[in-house]
Amino acid sequence: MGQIEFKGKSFEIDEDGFISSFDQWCPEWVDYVKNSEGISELTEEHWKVIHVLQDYYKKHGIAPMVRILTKVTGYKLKYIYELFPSGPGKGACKMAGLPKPTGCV
Amino acid sequence: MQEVIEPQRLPDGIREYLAGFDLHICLTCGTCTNGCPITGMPGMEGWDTRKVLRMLALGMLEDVVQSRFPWLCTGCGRCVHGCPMNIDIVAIMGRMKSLRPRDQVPGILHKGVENVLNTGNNMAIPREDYFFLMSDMGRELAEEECPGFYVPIDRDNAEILFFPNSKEVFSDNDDMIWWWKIFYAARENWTIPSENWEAVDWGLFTGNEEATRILAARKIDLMKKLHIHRMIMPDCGGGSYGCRKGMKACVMEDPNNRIEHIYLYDYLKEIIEQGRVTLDKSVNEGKVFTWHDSCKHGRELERNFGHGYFEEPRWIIQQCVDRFVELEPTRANNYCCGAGGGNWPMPYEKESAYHARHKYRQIKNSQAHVVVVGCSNCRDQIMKRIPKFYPDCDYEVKYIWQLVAETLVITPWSSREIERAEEEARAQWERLGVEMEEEEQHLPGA
Repeated sequence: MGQIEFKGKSFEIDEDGFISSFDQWCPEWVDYVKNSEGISELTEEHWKVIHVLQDYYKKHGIAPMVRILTKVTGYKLKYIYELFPSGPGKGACKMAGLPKPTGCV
Repeated sequence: MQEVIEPQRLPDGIREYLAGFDLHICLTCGTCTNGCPITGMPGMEGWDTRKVLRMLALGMLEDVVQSRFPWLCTGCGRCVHGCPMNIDIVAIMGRMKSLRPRDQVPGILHKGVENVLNTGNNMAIPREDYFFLMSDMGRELAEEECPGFYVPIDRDNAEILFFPNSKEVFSDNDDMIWWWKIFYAARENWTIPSENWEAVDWGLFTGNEEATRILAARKIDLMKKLHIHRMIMPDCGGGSYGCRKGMKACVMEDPNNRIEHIYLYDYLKEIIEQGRVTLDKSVNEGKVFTWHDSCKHGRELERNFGHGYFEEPRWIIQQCVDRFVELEPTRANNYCCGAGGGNWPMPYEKESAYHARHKYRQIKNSQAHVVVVGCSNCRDQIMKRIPKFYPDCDYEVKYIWQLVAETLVITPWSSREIERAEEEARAQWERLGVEMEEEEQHLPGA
């Protein structure tokens, strides 16, 4: 566990650099993570992915399968990798404030 | 002046366990340390395998348990392979992991174990999402390339039971299609389970022997319940090796728990030898291929279960390609990719990449264009992590079943075969409550 401060906000993070609780999520977190994820500017498409992930997480307590993410957003997987270079399971979930998926992703 | 360490008495349970290895026969020759890729790792100065064994011999249990050493150990077994006294260092490291309180297991590993025990898969993917994926992807493959194809779930009396890896169900969906094409081409009578379908075993990665036993017991139960002839051992090194360990424990409890299993190498070799699939090498012309021996399919499997898969994968590859070169060193002396023992999902990426320095050099020196692998962790490590940390990685990485699938010449199914399969698929999805539509399906939970 670690603590980071960014733009007046404080975030508790786990060993993988994900925020330890979804309750801590706020737009400043996305801003904080984007640089380490190699994203120079956030677009509407980034936010659409983030919101779909969050909506599903609120209902089910886990991240959606990528197949569901691609169908709901209408984006192909390749495009999601362009948006989030470290992938939907790592970069996108991290930015959306979800826990790190518990598989070999 | 340095403090002299006095030997301490270990707690009874661990003292009895370690007595089975008799650490006092260790010659302190350092062969283990010289063969171990952790030696010299930045951040692990002052730690090496020989020293850890000395610490345990002197009773310094807590220092070892609280260190990162057992977790950075990939369980590759090069140390044991070289040890003149044959001390099972891999088993000792596994036991050290087991002594960590579960809330101190690194990263997401223990959470994955809890998920698989509670939900039947590491990622807690709901049943309806799993069915949706299998039906939707199967429909696409049938429409695009393999008419009549569908993914059979819980098919009674199937010849082959196959276990999906949760990472492929969750995100790397297209990686499932190669096996599907092979089963389609071989006209295999196969199935996947509707529940407890997880291929990986993080019990092995966390030193949780009871979880490993439970996961194997579930596979045995599925085999019996569905009257399956043979299960294909999961490709994942940890998944298959853990399954063997767990099955061994289950058979010791009750000999009736013995079930028929087949490794993917034997399965691929069998269908090629029997002429059930046809291959066309010409699609791979112009490229040089090499093979990475996964520790848990080779060296460690041979040491613990009597047969390591060294020759079979080489034979399979050479049915698919003309130009094959070896890595150096190779077979039982091969280096680990650096991702074993849970080091792919664990939060020690830099350490895992350092571990992989030998693998990078081996591949570079081989001058191969394509590295063929048989384990999903090895694949991701060589395909994703090594290029992230090392320059000039201009090779491709392919699963051995991917290579076979890409080399296949599929004999078209007859219209009767297609109609029968379509009828079976309709009945199956109706039984499982999955709505099938021509184009888009209902998205569960979205």
